[in-house]
Amino acid sequence: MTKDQDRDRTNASTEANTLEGPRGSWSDTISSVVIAYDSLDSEPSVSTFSRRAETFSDVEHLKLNCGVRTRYARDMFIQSCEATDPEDAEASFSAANGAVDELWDFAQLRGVAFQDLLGLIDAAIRRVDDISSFNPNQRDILRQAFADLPRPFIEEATVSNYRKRFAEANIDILGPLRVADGVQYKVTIEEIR
Amino acid sequence: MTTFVDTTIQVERVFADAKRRARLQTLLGAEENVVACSFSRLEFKRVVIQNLALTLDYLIDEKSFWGAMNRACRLRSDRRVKMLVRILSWTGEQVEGRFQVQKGEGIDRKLTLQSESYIRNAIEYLWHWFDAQVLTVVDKTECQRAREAPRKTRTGKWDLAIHERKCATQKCRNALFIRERLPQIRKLCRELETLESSGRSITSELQIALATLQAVIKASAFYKLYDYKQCLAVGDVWIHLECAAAEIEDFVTTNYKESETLCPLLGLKMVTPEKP
Repeated sequence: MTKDQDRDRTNASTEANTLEGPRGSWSDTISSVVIAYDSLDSEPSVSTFSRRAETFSDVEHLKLNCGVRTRYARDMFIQSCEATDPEDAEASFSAANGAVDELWDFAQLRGVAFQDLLGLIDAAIRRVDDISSFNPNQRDILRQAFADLPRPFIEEATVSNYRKRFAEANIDILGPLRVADGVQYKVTIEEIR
Repeated sequence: MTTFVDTTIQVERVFADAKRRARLQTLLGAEENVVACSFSRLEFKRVVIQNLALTLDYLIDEKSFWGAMNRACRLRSDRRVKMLVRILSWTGEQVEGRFQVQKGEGIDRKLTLQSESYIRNAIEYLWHWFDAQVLTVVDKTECQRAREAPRKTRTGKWDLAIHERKCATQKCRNALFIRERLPQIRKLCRELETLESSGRSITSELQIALATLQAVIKASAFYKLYDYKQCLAVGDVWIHLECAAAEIEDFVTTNYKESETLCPLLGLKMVTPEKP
């Protein structure tokens, strides 16, 4: 991070703390944006975030949080790939998994391509214990998928390409459609009009 | 050693439980040793991928997970109900006991999004997976329907319909394939007849295949095989014949009833994974 960026960040933190809004949690949200910025080189400057913060609608607010979570998920996954200590790797992987799960709460705000990329990653990692379950090629593809997740615009062709690459690398995404061992459900639906 | 897998094995390789998939993996070895055929890809599309697409249709039409579940129950689409229940189990949503949901709201909306996404991904993934996880897909029939990839429509649904009428344009070479192997096919028919007349029953599917082949050979009307339904009637024979033409001895299947008859007649060795 350059000194200018660091100065911007500090200014933004100050601005964020002085923002007033209908919710007391705004300043918390802004500080979490600053944390997200810390982990990225290619993001818009924090001052941009601050200007936007002044005109936040609920949707923008949620979208921003979604961005924060996607970057967090990406960073945790990369960290788990690069960790030398198995416990660190497991903890980071677990954090990435949790962040992916949380992202479903924001998915409706994003396009189908985002939802599908999220679904692809979720299905691949949710029931996996740790990063060592993936071979280097699989990890590399997953890393790229995680890196695409924070992009504001994801094209359907990108997701389509990932589906093909996941299939070729035999990254299993069929867990959600497969019989769960030893689990039985009985569902009764009653329609109330 | 190279092994040939039929449609049942390809389905099990993706949908069986973890233990069974591991056993299959041990039996088959690396994917570099496994060969499938294009007619199996057509069956895979018809049976597995099409079912996914129909479930997705329910979700899109109803705009609700529980609405789709209700519709699947109402239509007695057991396979689609099961699929939705599996997704529910996967997501780990707490739905124990009695609860009420507003269609398209809250937990229902989230479940709908998740289900749609998992299914959309699976449709395209499985289409690629079929070819990616084998050494090669042999294709003596050059079946054109088996080459038609799932197509996404503007509504977000997937078109997986089999364009049956296009078969009549005779772009495949299934009739030629039968003609090339005519001595083998004649022998196969004779032996199936002998089995039937000796009192040993053959399955209804084989009876239909036999009747279709006999009619085609007798009238030298091989062109009839360009009809989609006639072609499907010979389905099991195509798959076993592809294996024989590829000169692969081991035919791996769980389709015991047809294969235990067809394999010895075509010089193949039936290999069956341990029953679950």
